[in-house]
Amino acid sequence: MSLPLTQPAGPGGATGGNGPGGRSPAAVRPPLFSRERWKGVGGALCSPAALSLLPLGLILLLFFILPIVGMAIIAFTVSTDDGGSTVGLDNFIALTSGSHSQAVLNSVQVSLVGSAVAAVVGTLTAFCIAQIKSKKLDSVVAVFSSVLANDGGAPLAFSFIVTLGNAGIIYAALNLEAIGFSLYSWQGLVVMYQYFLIPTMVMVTLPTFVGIRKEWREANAALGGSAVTFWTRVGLPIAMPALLGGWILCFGAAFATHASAAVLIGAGGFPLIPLSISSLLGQSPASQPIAMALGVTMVVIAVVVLFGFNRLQRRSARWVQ
Amino acid sequence: MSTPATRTVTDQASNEVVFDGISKAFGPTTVLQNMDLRIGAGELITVLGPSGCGKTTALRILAGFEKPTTGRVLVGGKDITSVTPNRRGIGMVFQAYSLFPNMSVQDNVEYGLRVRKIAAEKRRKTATDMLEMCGLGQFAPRFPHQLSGGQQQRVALARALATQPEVLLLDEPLSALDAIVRVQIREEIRRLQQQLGITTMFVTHDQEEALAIANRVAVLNSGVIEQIDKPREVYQHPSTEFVARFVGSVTEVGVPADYRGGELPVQAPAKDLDTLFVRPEDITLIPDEDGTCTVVSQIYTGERTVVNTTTAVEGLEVTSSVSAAEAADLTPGTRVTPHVMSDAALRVFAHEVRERVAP
Repeated sequence: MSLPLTQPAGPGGATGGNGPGGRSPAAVRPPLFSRERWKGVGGALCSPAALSLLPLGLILLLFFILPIVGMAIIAFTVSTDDGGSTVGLDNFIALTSGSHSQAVLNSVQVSLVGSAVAAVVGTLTAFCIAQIKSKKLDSVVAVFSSVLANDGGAPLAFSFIVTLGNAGIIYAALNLEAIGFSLYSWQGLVVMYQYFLIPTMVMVTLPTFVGIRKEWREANAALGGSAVTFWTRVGLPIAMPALLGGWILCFGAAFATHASAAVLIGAGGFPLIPLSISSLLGQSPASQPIAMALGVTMVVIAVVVLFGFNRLQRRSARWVQ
Repeated sequence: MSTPATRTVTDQASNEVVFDGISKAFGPTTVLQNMDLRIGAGELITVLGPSGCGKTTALRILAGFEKPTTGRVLVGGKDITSVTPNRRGIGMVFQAYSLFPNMSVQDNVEYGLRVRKIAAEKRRKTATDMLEMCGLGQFAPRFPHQLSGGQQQRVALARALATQPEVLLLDEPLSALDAIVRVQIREEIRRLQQQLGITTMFVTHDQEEALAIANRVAVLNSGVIEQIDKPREVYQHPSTEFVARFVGSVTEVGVPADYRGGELPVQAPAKDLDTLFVRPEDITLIPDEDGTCTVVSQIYTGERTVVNTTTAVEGLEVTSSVSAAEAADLTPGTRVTPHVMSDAALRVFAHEVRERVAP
């Protein structure tokens, strides 16, 4: 997610270049399914080096593509009255009612709010750390944030239960009951997720803030600009692609979190997609198709969100293309 | 040229820059010692020195990015020592990569005017004029990464000039460019500077560049100005040994007190001898079987050829610069006698040498 901060100086002639006008900054990309868009990809795959992609390709196939296809097949298969089966949307229609629709809404809500909070807090944190201008601190923070970003699971939930749970130390000390806070609700999940989402955000955005050049600030000052002018017109626009990228990553991490949520919420209290899927799979085989439909929904939501973010990110980074 | 950047004579008179007893220390390290420097209105001064001599610090003090430990900075008679950089009205060109990468060339040049809340139309016109003046008209819609290093520096120059600054500061603006572009842009900077009559401080470690572009050259060594004079004077009459060695190449020999030119004795500088600093073009090499020097190499530089010779004295090499015709007789291995044709660049008398050698 890092952006190129230095542009190599072109060789030779100062008056050279690519002719008048040059490439328009927002170059139009060919449509997704056109031949032009994929030109060269086939050639690249013919290279012997493409063999190195084989293990990754195999894993993607076995653990990503095949499961999705399998899931989709089961999700779209509907058994008919005469014992046969046909393609239909019954399993998806079943999701629109009751706890399943609630699970979808809850998951989206918790992930959006959680990732938004983490994006803001993480950005401010990374910004402040970069202002300290200590290479040592930067690398320590980078290591710790990448460790914390991958931390989670049951131990995390337990540590929150003993601190912020109904009998938690901090819960009692700050009298959080008075403001109606409950760890076992969406608020609790949002708070708990910050533990790994903020480090994720810091990890992604810190290099960008560290890479803001001194020359840019000084040029801004020499041209009469204040610090506020600099950050609104130069600093933040430059950091924006990384900020949006970090937000995407946080959303994805929150959306897919299972273990810590499962320990904290258990089954039923506050349905989330991953929790509902696992409880459905634990029930009778008859509920399996509905679990698969939930899974497909989850994939679709993730793809739509990632695609949307990607467009935003691309727009904010059009000056590097 | 009727761009808004054109100045009147009365404006110029107020743009004199004065460093008044400027010292700067970073912790225990003194970078500048009691520096006095006056840059006349509309004058271009190059500050020349090896890396770490304090030249960039001096420039950054004038820009306001560093605070002097003692002393004052005046622009047009006004003390600006405690004025923040963004209120000094100074244009600055950095070494490289100072353009805002998220803005087009046009927006970069308009930036200073935008900050000053100049109306969009006027802003655009000024920026377009500036870009035309720097030969960049067609590049306005591009982004910095789509330009070559030389083009980027031109844009940086246009951006710095667009706000009509009182003073222009250039911090080794050409050092990241290749030789041809460097000369082109150097000449362009000089042309614009003269056209706009803008008081300019140009910091460089490249002595050729410093001599070529300046009204006056200030040679800085370890935080002290060793000499400030016209380029020709600095080269032909260096006032200190440092300047003699740093600006141009020089042959150093020890000569007796009564030496007045002619055949150059091949002796290392010593306590009881005067030390002579001679420029290559002032030394003639005459082929001679019993000569004191032996030609070791020729470096062809186009118009002139630099001939290096060794002597029996260890560490003493005599360097001459000769025409192509003369070079033909000076193939490596030829024995030659050096003659000094005119006044040496610098003569340090024996008593000064003794003072320097004595602790």
